[in-house]
Amino acid sequence: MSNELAQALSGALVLGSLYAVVGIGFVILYKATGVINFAQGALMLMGGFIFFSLHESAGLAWPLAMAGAVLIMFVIGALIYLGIFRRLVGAEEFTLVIATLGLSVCVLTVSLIIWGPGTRTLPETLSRSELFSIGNLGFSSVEVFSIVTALVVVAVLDLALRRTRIGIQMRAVADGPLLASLSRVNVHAMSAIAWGIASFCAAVAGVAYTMRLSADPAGMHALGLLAFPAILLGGIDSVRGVLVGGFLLALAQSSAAFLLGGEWSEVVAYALMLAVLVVRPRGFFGSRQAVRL
Amino acid sequence: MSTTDQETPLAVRGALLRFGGILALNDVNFDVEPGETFGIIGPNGAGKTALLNCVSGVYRLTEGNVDFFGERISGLPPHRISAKGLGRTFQNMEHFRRFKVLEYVMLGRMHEARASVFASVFAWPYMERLEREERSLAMELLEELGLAHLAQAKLSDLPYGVQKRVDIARALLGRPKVLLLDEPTSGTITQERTEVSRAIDMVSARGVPTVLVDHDVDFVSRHCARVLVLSYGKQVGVGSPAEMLARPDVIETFLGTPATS
Amino acid sequence: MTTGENTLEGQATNVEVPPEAPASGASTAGRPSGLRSSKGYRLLAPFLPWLAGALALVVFANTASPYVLLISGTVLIYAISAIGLNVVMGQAGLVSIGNAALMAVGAYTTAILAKEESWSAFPLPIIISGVIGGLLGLLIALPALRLRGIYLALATLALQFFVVFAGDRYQAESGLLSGVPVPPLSIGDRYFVPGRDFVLLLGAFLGLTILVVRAMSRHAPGRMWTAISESELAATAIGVNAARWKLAAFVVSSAIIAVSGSLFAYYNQIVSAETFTIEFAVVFIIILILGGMGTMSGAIVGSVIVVSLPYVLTRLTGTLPSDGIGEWLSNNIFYVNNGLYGLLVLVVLLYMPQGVVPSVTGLARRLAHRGADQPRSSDRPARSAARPAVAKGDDKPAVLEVEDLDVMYETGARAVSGLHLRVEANAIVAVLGRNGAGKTSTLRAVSGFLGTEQVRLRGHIRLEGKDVLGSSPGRTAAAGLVLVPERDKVFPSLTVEEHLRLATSGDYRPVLEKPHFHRLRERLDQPAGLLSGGERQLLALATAAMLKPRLLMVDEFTLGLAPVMIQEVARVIRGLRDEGMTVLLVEQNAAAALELADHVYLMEGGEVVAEGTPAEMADRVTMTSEVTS
Ligand SMILES: Nc1ncnc2c1ncn2[C@@H]1O[C@H](COP(=O)(O)OP(=O)(O)OP(=O)(O)O)[C@@H](O)[C@H]1O
Ligand SMILES: [Mg+2]
Repeated sequence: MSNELAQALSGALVLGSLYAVVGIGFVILYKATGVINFAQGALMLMGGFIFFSLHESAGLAWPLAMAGAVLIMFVIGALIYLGIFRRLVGAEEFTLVIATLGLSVCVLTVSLIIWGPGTRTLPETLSRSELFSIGNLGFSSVEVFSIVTALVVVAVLDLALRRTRIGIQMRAVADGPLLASLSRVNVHAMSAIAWGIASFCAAVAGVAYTMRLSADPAGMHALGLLAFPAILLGGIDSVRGVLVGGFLLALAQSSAAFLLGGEWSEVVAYALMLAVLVVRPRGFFGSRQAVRL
Repeated sequence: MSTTDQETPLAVRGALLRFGGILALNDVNFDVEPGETFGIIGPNGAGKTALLNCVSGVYRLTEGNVDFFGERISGLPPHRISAKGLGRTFQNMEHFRRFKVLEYVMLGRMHEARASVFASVFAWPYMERLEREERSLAMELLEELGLAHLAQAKLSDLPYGVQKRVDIARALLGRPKVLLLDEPTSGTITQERTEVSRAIDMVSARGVPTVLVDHDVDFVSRHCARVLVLSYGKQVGVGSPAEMLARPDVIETFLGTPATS
Repeated sequence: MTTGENTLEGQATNVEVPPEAPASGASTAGRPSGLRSSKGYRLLAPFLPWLAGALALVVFANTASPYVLLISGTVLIYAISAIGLNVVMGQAGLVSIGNAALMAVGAYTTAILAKEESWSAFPLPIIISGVIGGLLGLLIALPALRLRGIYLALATLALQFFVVFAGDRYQAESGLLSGVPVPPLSIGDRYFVPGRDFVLLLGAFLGLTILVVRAMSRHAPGRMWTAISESELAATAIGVNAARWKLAAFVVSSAIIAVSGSLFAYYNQIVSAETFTIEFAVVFIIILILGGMGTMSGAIVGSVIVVSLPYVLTRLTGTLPSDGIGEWLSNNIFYVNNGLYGLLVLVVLLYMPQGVVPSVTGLARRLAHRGADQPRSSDRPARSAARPAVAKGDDKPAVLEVEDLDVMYETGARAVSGLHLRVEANAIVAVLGRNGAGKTSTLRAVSGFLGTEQVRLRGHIRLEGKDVLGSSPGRTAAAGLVLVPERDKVFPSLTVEEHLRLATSGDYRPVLEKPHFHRLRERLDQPAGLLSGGERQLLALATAAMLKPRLLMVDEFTLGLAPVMIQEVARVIRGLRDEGMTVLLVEQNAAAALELADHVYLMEGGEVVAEGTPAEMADRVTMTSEVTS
């Protein structure tokens, strides 16, 4: 295996883990509220910048800054629900999608006004030089950190949703908010938590991205958009699917960049998504709609 | 296997439908004779709606087949079956909400073959005239069924029972050769039921055979000379309503005994 | 979104509402005769709005300043594009984010053709752009045949990446990094540059587009698209060839959008991949949302707002003092201009959920309605005063007390008026009445409406003495009330077992021991959306009972149940009452209700017309709403 290829592969693992974290927030929000969130990329960017500010400007140690950023973003997510989406409960799916598009524009604008459009580089938090290698697949501490965090977040959320009644309650809310509240499910609490989690996950990805590279608005926004093919590959309502989709997509992108050149990576990502969807319209693990006549 | 003769509006042979481990239909056989109103009764989950879905092509039979005037229709997509003249109503009207009543009823008119975006643009005056004709036909029908005053109401604003009658109007407007009705009386009071009855009589008067699924045994007895009893996918039997309703197994699984407390 | 029922009376007034503007495809059936039936008027009428529109445009084009004209041209192009998008999104209900890509295809096609001597003659490049757009639409539609909802939306997003990629490459290879220049549009020896003539030309194109789209959406194609957007499955079952009509929608829409892209190229005289970003695509979705999805007038109004807003804002900024807010604004004007769309979308969705145009016309209609409503509301107090006050019983409040309840829907229809109802603890009370009597609305009012349902309530609803009028469903549920609604009574994607686990943290198995509930036990892993109608009803009743409410309300417990099941469920309800539960039933099936209830109300036209014990009411019920068979 050539060195470049090895680098591409380890890069793919890191990228895949970012897709997975952004994606799982998206999937949980979708399962819990039926909202397809186009603002996930913008939230990621905001999370990354908050981390940057806490660490760089406020001088917090990076673990503290990270904890602060993801918690703040959790709260922001919950507030987004309470301020905006609470009033759209029961609206059509379509309306909700558009509302997240609006939200995305707003979050992006606020971030750009506060932090400006430039890329900000952090001094090294965790080492970016090689920590260990498998064969000639080398990983730095920050990369390992990124991958491990992603796996832990996905695993914890997956377990929490499957083992507790909260998971069922959330899906009930997504299926029918009116019926859910008639059945004594606390619709607002469930939705606020789901929004918090979505925003939290986006922030985790934003922090990981910023730590490894830099607080780069364009890059993070683009990554947010590329999380979509990853989510659809796995299936929009599958927590495990998003993991598979994320890594698969990242792998395809890295190989495309390696074989054809960097400018091909987005096109290849979407082409892969189309190819899979044509064969499996609900991705690898997405569930069928339960409708009949 | 050969198809049945062309005189028989609907023939179901060896129908078997499986969903995973569930046998929703298990060897169901029956013919609908020309002009008759054929009843299907059975407990909840017996497979009545599933059977109608198989006939209209929404579900695909695992085994067996359905012939429509001697022509094999099982396996065809639903819109092709519908175009051949099979009309149906829905048990649940949860699927359509935004439609205005008149527009929904006009949907039943299967002039689809003539409709196209090109015709609408390039043969506008002709299509416009056609549209007006359809519209007045639909209004006439609504009038006949006592629904004309609701023509502009939104479907989801209407009570369940009224929606079901609108759905019947939609199916009737297509002038089907065979009509399948799924629980037309559910959610209606007796008085409204007479309007449903009238609609069915109207269809029989035209000699159109009807398959009637319903839980109201009086209603079924009044309209059908023959009923098929289904129980958990299996065919209990076909016979006159009086005969079938007197059977102990039918009483146990379907009819019950009114409480005497 | 309103669920529930209107009174028949309410519906009758609905019909008198003047038909909507012709552009929205309203019917002309039932239009009153009179002046309108005179022959001359009938012949002319369809052309009047067109004449007026054309006249207005000509006057506008000749009076507006060059600056305003420059902006107007863009507005018109955007409007054409938005109308094209509306065919797919507003009518067929298929979300598409491919708008920018399709415009780009039209623009590049035009840029390339306009350079070629033999292809550049008007309107060849525009037509060819449209044809290529249509073909591309066909290509997009192929995945659309299998994909639903968001999967489809993102498939169209793929197109965006492909086209921009191809455009970038083309520009890079031909050395036109800053964009492909487009010679000005010429007809004969007349050149069109942004200004009066170009605006008139674009106006003509817009008119043509409206004509074409209107022709389709008023006829069968529009109906097929609506049917597909409501439920593809059900639409197919009644004979709609969903594949064919989805294809048609994509082809028509894509062709129109590509034409707008072609005009866009001529107008700006340069085509660059940088223009056609995802944000650009989203702008058109925003236009539709702002104006009002599904209407062409909405697409036009939305375009006006979206295109002119940044200009207006920039102007405004110039007038502000150059310190403090003014300075901040002028420094950030670029971001603020972009962010404003987002804010606008949220504001519109929250405060005018239908979009600007429908909200305004809806308001006008409601105002018109208020006049018709007046006499009724003014004679109401007199009548309720004449009515003897409901006996208060002893000091213990009833479980449910409804006084003077009015329920009005957004359409202005009054579903319930001056309703009195009382449910004593530990009783089974039944409300009878025909369809449209206001029974469902009563139950919904008691259990509470969602914020998105626009309903007005008046009167008192007391749950064990506490007034809950206007409470959210969550509140009333927490107060101990459970409603089994008439439709949407189960969660389609939750399995039977998940429903039961949702209802209780304890053991759910005892419920399934009841004689006829064993059916559910065999279906534990089946999503409730796939159950039969009766199975769904059973599941809903079982879970409601497991919640152990203080007051259980059931909208039509007999709905879709076999006779044996009705008897069984009646036994269960009686058992629940014996365990201390209070039950309020709304029923069409008078026989079943009379047998079960302790007290019966009869409703008609949104009011209670009689009440009493089942024995007292039996005759009355048969007389007024039942005809004994
Ligand atoms: N698409 C499906 N997937 C899985 N199971 C299904 C599906 N359709 C029907 N079933 C099952 O098949 C059985 C028969 O259903 P069907 O709807 O035909 O009952 P039915 O006789 O119409 O009952 P009801 O009187 O309650 O309407 C039910 O147990 C149902 O759960
Ligand atoms: Mg059924």
